[in-house]
Amino acid sequence: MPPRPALPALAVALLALAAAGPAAAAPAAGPTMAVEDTMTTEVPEILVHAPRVTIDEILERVMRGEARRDSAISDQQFTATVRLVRDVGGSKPPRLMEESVWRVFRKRPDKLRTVKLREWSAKPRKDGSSDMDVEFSPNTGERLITFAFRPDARRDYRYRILGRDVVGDHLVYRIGFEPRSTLEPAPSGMVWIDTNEFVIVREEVSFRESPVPLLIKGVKRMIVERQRAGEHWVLARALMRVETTIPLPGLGSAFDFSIRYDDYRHNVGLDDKLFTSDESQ
Amino acid sequence: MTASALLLALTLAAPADSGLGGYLGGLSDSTDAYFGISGARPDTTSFDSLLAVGLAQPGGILNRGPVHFGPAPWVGFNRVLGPLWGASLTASARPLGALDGRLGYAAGPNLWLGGGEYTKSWGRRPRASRGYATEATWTATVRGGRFQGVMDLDRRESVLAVARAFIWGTDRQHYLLRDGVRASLIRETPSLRLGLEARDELDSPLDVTASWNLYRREPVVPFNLPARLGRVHELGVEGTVRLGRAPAWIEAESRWADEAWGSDLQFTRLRVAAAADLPLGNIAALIPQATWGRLAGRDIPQAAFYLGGASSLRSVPGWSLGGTRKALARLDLLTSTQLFAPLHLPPQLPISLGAFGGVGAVWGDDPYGGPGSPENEWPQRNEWLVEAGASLLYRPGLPDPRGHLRFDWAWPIGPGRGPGRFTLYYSRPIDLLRITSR
Repeated sequence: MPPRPALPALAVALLALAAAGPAAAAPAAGPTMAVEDTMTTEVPEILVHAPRVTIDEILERVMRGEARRDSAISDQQFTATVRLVRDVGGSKPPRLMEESVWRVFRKRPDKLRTVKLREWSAKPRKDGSSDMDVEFSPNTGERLITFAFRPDARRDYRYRILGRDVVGDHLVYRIGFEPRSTLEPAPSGMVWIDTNEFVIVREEVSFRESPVPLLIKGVKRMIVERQRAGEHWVLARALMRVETTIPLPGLGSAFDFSIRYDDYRHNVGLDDKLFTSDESQ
Repeated sequence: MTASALLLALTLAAPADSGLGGYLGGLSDSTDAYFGISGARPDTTSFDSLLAVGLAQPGGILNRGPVHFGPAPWVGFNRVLGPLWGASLTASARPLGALDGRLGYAAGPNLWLGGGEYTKSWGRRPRASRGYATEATWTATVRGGRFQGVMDLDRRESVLAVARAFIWGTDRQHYLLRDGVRASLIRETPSLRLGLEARDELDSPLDVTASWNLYRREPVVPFNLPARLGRVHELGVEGTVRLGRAPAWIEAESRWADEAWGSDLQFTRLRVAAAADLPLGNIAALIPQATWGRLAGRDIPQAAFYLGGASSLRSVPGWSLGGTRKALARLDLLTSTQLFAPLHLPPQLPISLGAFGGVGAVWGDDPYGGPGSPENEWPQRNEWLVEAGASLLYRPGLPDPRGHLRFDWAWPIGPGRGPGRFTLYYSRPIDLLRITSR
């Protein structure tokens, strides 16, 4: 009669099974993988003397990074697609109501030229035009994503580090921001900052209360994305989902407003003749 | 090779952005899933040929027409004009500015009013980011014609005052008629606002012509303080500065009219004000405000200082006290709307509560014809008016994102003062000066 295993030995075996997880608890059919126990590594403890980077340092570097990004662009062209989509987030399928596509040319310091490539409306006017009026800026500073991180905005916002992600050889900081004033209907949110260049690569914006409570129930979600176009980080998309207090004509009670930026070209030496005086500011 | 060395080698071998690209791509995929067709890439068919055609045109904006027209009604009501019936037309073109023309008929005094105003701004940014710019914005305005003005240069009520006058006859402002031209130039950055204004206008008194209202009540003010008749050649400067990183502002304004410039009236008017927005965590804000003013010039009601009512001492009937000197200090405590989150109020009803205290006085010559008091001495302690009160605020977001509809109940403090007063008005929380854009 084989000897009965001692109780402590059984307990150790159960603990080992539990620690190994469910896969080990239920051995699969096929070859058995041996546990590698010949390659060991030891990392010596390192005492870090350098102080941890502060939020102020990050904000300073973002300011410089954004300024550097902006100054590296002497001229820029891209295709912008502006859309209004109704019946979003509900049981009905979303419906495109307005779409206009523009090729935008910018040149420092203040030149702007836009060419409309498409204008489509689900309910066009008699003359075929749309209700949507789009206005571009000659500025390449992309304030849509940097508004809370500009030097003059820092006194109006509070910032805090929400997290850090190591992605390949990039360290990405997630920084939250919110307006200092409780009276100000300014947005709050979170940005993702790539610390290799200290530029903002993504932003999620929220409003603690509706900017226009009389008409807008809330901005359910707002996201601004950047993309890498050659050497430059530039806007990729800005999307916003808005819920209204009363159904708006042609838009219903929930709609998306979006701008998509594609087909960038930078620093090709755009000719001044391209820019007409009526749009240069 | 150790495991860490292997990992390091693998990392260095990978393209520099592949990790970040995948990371952002993952986030972008979740955006796609949420927004669907709203963020999809457009169909680019025939874009090349359309671009070639577009570039051959003089400019994209010209295709849409460079001028936008905005017609609007121009209506109003008060006890001097009675009903005002009119219309306005605004023509605007981005590079050229905006031209506004309006014409109206005041049925009370049987008077035609109207004229034109041209406004041109430089350095304006797109609407989404306006107000966060570091660059200065300039705004030039020129206005000519015949318009109604208000006697108090420091504040005026518009839409709500019209509604109150029309429905209940609670019209407390005093009015005058202005014929002529005025021009202003304003330069503004987030920290500094500077303005220069000049006017050449004939100031004329107006009489009460409409004593009726919808509820057939007796008008609360049965007279209109007569302005001193005269052509005024006036120059004014104003400046508002934000104090560094602090949410505090100081404003100074001065206006001069001199007979040497051909003006019938001669005066020097100076006003200074200070205010701050001090957040108390995320639940409330403390707003101290103070203003002081002095007028050198005799018998000029249209340049005097007034006390009482909305944006002033709320326990005192609006514009019921006047003088050539004024001092006013107020402290408002306003709660955040977040404080009411546990009540689950509808999002379209962001209400907040407030408490306030104030002290103020006017002295010197009395524009209402009273005995007045010495200009060069501060009022006696018992001449200062003190009040405390409570507010219920609602921010509709229109027409001003910072504007609140306020229901204020103010109690006068001190012997011999009347009962408490209820005031309904629309204003920004900081209303004794014009804060610079944020």
